[in-house]
Amino acid sequence: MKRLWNAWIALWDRREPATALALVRILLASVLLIDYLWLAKLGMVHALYAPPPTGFAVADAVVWYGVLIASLACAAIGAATPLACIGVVVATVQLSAAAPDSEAGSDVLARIVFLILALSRCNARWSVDAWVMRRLGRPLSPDVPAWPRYLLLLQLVWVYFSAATNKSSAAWGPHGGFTALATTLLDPQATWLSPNLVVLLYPLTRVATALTMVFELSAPLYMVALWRDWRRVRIAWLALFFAFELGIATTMTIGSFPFVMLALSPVLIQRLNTRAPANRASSPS
Amino acid sequence: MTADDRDVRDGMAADGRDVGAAVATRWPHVRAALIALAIAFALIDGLPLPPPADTPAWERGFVDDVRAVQRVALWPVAWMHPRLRIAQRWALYQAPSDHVWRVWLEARLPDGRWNVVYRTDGADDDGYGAILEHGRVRGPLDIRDTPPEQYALLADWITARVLADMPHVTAARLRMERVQLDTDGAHPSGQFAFVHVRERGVP
Repeated sequence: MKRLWNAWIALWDRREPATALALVRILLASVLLIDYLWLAKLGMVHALYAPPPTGFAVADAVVWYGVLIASLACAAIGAATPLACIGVVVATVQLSAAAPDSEAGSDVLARIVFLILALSRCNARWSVDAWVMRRLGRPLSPDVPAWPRYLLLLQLVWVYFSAATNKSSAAWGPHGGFTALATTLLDPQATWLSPNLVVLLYPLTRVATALTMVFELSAPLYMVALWRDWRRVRIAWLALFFAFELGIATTMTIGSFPFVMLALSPVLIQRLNTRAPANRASSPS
Repeated sequence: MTADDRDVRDGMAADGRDVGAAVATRWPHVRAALIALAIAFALIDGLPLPPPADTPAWERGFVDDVRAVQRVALWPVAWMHPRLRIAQRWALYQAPSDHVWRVWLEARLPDGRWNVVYRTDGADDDGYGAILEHGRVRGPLDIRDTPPEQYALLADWITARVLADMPHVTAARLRMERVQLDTDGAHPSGQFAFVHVRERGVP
């Protein structure tokens, strides 16, 4: 038992280059920034986040929209990063309360990711923070604690596995003929594809439904493949991941969801590192 | 201030050990324990239990017991769901329905005829599609069995906007048409529901 516990401690004590965490910070903040700025371009900010008669929100959160944009911009460039990440979480909570039906699963996931990023050293690379610290003669170490990325990795894997185990319709399985994706793609509110094209591609959608279930249910296997360095399994699962998310992004009109998931892909791609911490006496994180 | 306090302030424990080093030594243990706890809470929260209304009768006794245990186990972190609006149960495309609803936004002309301003997968001469098809705006229009909480608010807002944009129309209407989906394609039924009409001059 003690050996197990020591192995558990060692696992969460590893360090690695900050590349993946920095990329996630930049990509996720950028995706959300574009998504929310698009609302301003459409002139929909007050409509979405102000109560009647100005808009259709259940509470006034227009100010929080401004806080969110500023926080996302700071997070993207890595300026006062932990504070910016907390700002994103607080602001999206307020926007979610004001417009609960405008929330997607990706918003909940983004909140969790920014909470973890706030506790990480994702600003050790490609950030204003790193530049400022370098100028002050106290450069940030390029090697950072790996545990935030491991947690994000677990979170992503759990999202897919949980999505598979929560699928309650027979249409996702052989008893329902693997028709779930065809049905989803026929919904005129969810896709830009014409129904005729979907009917034409019907056999392909059944294959895609089966592959979706394989991809989601095998998500925990990806963790094992990373751990054991099974290269072929890793590549196969990553190929399914990109096919799945790019497929959603190109065929469906469901907002930023696939782009949020793609923005998180660096945590999947970076391999596990077995390096122990370089300096035990450095500040805890 | 005691001597011990001064020592701690100066980075030394009363027995002469370096406080910073002691914290750094203990921290990996504390962090590993906190992460284990967080993962355990996440897994318990994410248990794929069916919603109470959708639980088959034969499962109910067992599922209700598990749900009660889950509620007790999550008590220490129960504040997180309403405060941070996060959860670990990911029900994405859980059960695609064989029927959906499409949006009709219409304006009544002075002669009494209703003119379609916007329809899902159809008319959009006045550019309302860019608004109503945006991922964040579409949420209140995503009707399952009952309309979402914000549907009535959105209907009120969009019909007011049509009246403001088109001074010549006498009323605006938002309604939803049921569409049947099967392997032959999407079949509009001609059955409408969730009708919201705003007359000009009526608050």
